[in-house]
Amino acid sequence: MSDKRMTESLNPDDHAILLALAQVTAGGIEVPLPATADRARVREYVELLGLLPYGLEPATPSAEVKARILAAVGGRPNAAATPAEARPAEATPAEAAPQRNFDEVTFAGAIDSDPLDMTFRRVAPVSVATAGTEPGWQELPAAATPTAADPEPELPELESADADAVIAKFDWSEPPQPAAPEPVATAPEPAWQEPEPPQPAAPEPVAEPAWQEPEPLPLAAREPAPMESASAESEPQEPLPSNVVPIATATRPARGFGSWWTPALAAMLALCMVGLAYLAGKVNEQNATITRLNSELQGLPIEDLSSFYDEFSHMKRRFHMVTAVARHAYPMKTVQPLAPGAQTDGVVYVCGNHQRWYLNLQGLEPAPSGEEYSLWFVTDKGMIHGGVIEVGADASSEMEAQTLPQGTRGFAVTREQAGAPHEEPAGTMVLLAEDSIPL
Amino acid sequence: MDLHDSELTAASAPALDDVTLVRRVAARDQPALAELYDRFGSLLLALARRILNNEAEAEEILQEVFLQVWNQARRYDPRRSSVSTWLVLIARSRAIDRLRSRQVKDRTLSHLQQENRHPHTSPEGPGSVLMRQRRKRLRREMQELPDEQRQVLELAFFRGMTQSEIAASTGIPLGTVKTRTLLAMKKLRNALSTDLRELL
Repeated sequence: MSDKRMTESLNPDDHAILLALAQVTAGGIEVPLPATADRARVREYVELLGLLPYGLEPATPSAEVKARILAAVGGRPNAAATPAEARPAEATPAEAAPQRNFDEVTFAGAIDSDPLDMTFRRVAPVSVATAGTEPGWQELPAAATPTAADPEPELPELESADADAVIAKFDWSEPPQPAAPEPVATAPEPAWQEPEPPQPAAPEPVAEPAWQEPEPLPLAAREPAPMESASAESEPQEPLPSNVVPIATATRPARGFGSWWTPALAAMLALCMVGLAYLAGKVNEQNATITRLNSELQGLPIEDLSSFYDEFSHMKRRFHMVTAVARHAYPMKTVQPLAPGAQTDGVVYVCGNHQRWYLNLQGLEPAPSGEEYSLWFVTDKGMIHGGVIEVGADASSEMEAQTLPQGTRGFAVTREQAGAPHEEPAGTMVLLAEDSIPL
Repeated sequence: MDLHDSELTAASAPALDDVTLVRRVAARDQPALAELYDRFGSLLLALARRILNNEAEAEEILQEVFLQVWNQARRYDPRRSSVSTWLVLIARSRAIDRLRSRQVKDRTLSHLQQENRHPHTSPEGPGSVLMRQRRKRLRREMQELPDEQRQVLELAFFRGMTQSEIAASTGIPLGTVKTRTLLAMKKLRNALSTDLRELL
């Protein structure tokens, strides 16, 4: 069939199909349609094309992709490791960055623009062929280094190899004065004695003796001299000169154990007392409530008590199930609203033995005439009918059973034709629970 | 009773429909974007992977799509399409642009011909019940299409080829290409009417 004849034989449906294909191929639904196009029909076929990916093999994206997306929209730096959404539709091959060849001879013109070369200085081009010539760079002149202009402080000469003797003669209140060298002492070290006070007169300049290597101390001389207490009774105390300030003997104040513990402990005790008083008040309130309820209970007629106990047993059984160990809750999520603005909530509790279950639905609008709600168990082998749901006057419904089909991993509520066979869901799915919450 | 009432209350709250979710994304709601990703991420990744035959590039496309969604969610118009179709077309457009930039149509065409000889037999994958049911129906209906009709449809959608390009690359007359495309689309429309009603 020629193209012209093909065009002439097209019906509105065919036009809509081709327009839908053209719109999708051109870039999407934002591509404007001709004024004469049947927009509703075109949209129907566009939606049909949108369904085609559902027939593909499922793919699970890595968690990193989601993390990168959320990081990118959250504005964190270095979020998107891959190019952002601003990639142009017609991707052009990215121009390769100019390669920097450090084997090149000259850097003239490149240094100023290349921050990596900030430490280098522009020099004239140098030929590589020139033997012994460095490439065209040289380091900046080094910073000024300390010269010998500042005289180093002179160290005091070691006058004697006898360290204690030197210390004994050293006056800490004045700069060290040069003294005449003393011979090496072979005898036992003299006892500790107070340093001699300095002479008030200005010392005469004395030529400093030449440095000489101190002789090693004999082993006996290295033993510490016995320390003698500087008590007033053992040796006479010489009056201190005027320029020597005695160090005041400070006494450390004794630390008491209860300096700050006591108020802290008292505060804690006070808080405890306040808390206990509050709890005591609450207990009294509860006792009063219990007393009042008991008195009310005793005044109830027997008939009401009977129905009350029946209802209580019923609630107790369900209470035990929803509070049993290792139970799961399957919250029902709305798939198709029953009515505009209607909100239906529901949850299915399943015991740890995966057998007993309890369904509670709230806000369930009555099914239209000729229809009914059906509960389905979503299993690995398909959906199994779980019963017809009766809607109470308060738009609520409850169901429970002691058994659950094997492999059940979800629950669904559909609206079916009343009396229709329950082989598989044929109506509209209104509620679905496929995620469980361990309680 | 030691039930966690707050958890149940939050968990049993009805799930937001897709349109409301996109509205929230337009309002810079990041959890809404995450929810949208959870719902459609696998579908879009499968589409990108199908077009590009490259897992890494497909994930890049997926990331670009959702960043575009984040920036352009306010432009979404529910009167024009469903959220699912909107996302699918964005992903398809980006993937095909990437594909064209690689200029590997001939290689993928031969790959497509090999695929046609082996229909999809992969088991059911993860996803919600609705997604699984829809996937089952799509797969069944696509397999029931004649090979020649399915081929032109896949070339048009997954390779972004125009009718003329399909005719040129397959050697099939242009009129025949159009006829097969129309027949395939009408068959699918009739078979997937329930799914279309949910989207329209």
